Amino acid sequence: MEKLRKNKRIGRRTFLKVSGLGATGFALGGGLPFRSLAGPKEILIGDIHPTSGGLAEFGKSCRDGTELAVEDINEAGGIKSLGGARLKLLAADSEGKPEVGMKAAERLIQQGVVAIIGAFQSSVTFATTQIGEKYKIPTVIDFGIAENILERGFKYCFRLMPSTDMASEQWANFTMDMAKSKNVDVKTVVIIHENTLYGTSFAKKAKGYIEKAGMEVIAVIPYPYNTADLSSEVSKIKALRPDIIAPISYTPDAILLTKALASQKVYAKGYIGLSSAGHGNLAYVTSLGKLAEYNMTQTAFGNRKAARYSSFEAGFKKRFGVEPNVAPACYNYSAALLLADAMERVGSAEPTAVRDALVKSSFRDHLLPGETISFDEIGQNKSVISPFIQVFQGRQYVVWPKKFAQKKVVFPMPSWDEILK
Amino acid sequence: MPLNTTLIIQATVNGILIGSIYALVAVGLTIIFGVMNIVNFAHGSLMMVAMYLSYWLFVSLRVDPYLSMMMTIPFLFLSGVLIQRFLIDHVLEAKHHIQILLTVGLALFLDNFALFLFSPDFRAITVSYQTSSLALGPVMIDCPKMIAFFLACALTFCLHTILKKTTMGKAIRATSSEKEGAILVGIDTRRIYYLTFGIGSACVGAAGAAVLPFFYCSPNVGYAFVIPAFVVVVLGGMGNFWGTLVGGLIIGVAEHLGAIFVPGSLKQMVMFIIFILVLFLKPRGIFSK
Repeated sequence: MEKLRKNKRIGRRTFLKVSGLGATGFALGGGLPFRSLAGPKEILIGDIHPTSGGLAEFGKSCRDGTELAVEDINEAGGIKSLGGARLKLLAADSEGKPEVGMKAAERLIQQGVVAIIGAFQSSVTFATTQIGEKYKIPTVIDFGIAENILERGFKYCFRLMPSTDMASEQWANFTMDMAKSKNVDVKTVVIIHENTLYGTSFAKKAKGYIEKAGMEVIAVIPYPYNTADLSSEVSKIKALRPDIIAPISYTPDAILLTKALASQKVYAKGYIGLSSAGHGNLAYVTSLGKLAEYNMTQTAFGNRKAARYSSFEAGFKKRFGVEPNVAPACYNYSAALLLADAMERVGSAEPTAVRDALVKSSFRDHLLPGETISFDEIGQNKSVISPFIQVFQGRQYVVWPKKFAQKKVVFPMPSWDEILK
Repeated sequence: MPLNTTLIIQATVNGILIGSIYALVAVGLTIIFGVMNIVNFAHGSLMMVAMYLSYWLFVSLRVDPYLSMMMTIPFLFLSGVLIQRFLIDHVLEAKHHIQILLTVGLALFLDNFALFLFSPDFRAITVSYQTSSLALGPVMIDCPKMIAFFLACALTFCLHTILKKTTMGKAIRATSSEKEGAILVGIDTRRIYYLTFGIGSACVGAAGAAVLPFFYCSPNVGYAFVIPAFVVVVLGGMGNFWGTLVGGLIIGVAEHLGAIFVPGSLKQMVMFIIFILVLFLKPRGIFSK
């Protein structure tokens, strides 16, 4: 009969056995330090966009952009500094509603996304970034122009599109520059805008910059974006006779507005969308046929002169069978590339590390007009431009600033009779 | 803001033009309610179906939307009959909330089926006479809207004549005012119900095609017209034909004058204030005795 060891000191072998078992158990059970040493094989990225409801068509274009980017990144070898880890996109539908977006953000974070791209609408983005900040998951905002999104002192928000200030200032300066270059006098502006957070916040900011640039805003006309009819609002504009009509609209209202302006023969030297998502949308152009010709709008747009653009466009057509809706697709494509670049630089897919890498971004290989993507202290992309695009024969081309222009601008706007000839 | 008379007259004219469409949609709704006591929440979705039909006819066969009415009206009529026969018929005797659930369910089904088939993309067409307008002094009347107005009035007038003069029409009115009596005199109320739902749906069949040139098509588009139509039905008195017609014009004009005087979404508030006032002061409609 063996004498049992009476002393309480643990022997070396037992110690090794126990710790070995414990370590394995800990690793299997999901202890973080062990995970990151091995490196994740698949990195989850979340995408929140309105793929149903009134803005579904923008939502889908945004989603297509991120999907294509994720596929291209994986095909190019994934995140090489993480051993070729592949990205996986977890997509969620915000239905265009902030509450649904918030629930989607919570769900995606529970499922383990390391970052979120989204959410196209200011109202939804405002809500989802709160969730991201709470769980310390960085969000790369494609569109979502309202001021207050980046004014909360959050550390985990990064916005690609120009801020309202940047875009308004650009609109005012571009309009003046363009008019000067064509020797046209522009003095009065009427702003007509949809009345959610998007249109309202933009109109307010823009008014200041327009007046600073030397023009006068003689009226600001709000309307509900899902209205059935804009003829009365257009009659108001007709009575005012401004030099420039500046709409801020989503797509269906943009279509109604243009039809009403054409049928009431309202003429202005410029009908220039003020960072108007609707006027920049390809669907707007295709459904109006001839009526869209020479329409101009400032819009977040892609840069067709970017080095990567032609391969992006070819890849998009191959994957989805249609031409990309330039702005949503390019922005979201670039957002995903930016995230991959951040992870590549920092060699980690840990959300806070990714966030720190994003802060230091200086990313060149993107599809946006502007210089490198880099962010200021509140997370705003510093150098991006929302250029003026104009419609020629059913296609949209950047016309101002000249540096990114693909075609020569036509200004002032020809009369409706000429357009319909 | 120059609130000159031109602006007001223009708004009134626009209001009357769109009001005729609201009236047509509302007439369909009120007939169904008058005869069968069913609030058809799928009314807007049926209008959406008509719009898509007209849209595809235009895009693939270049059929003018107003001509396409010759197809949308019978198609929606038939759909209405089938819906009544196979769906509504079963709940005619049930409690109101069951009937509501059924029509709401139908609406959801149609909306989402359209979403699935056609994607959420907005579809709009531009006809060759899109921007032609008639100028009456300083006021401009939009050509497509004017055509829609005349068609809506003509159809409403036709419907009224059918109801007043034909035997079938009289049978419908009989069933509407006194169901048991109608059965007693040998009217096949079942058939009347099929006809009524068919006619109600045919109304939005016409309205859908009529508005396509100046509106857009999407799975949720029906609500933009049907919500004012509900207000019109209450305004005119549920089941009151002429009341609904006049009510439609009133709501159209109110909305447009509202747009001149109040900013943004408040123009819709004008319509709803009228709605609430009517419910409080004359709940059976402004034309009720």
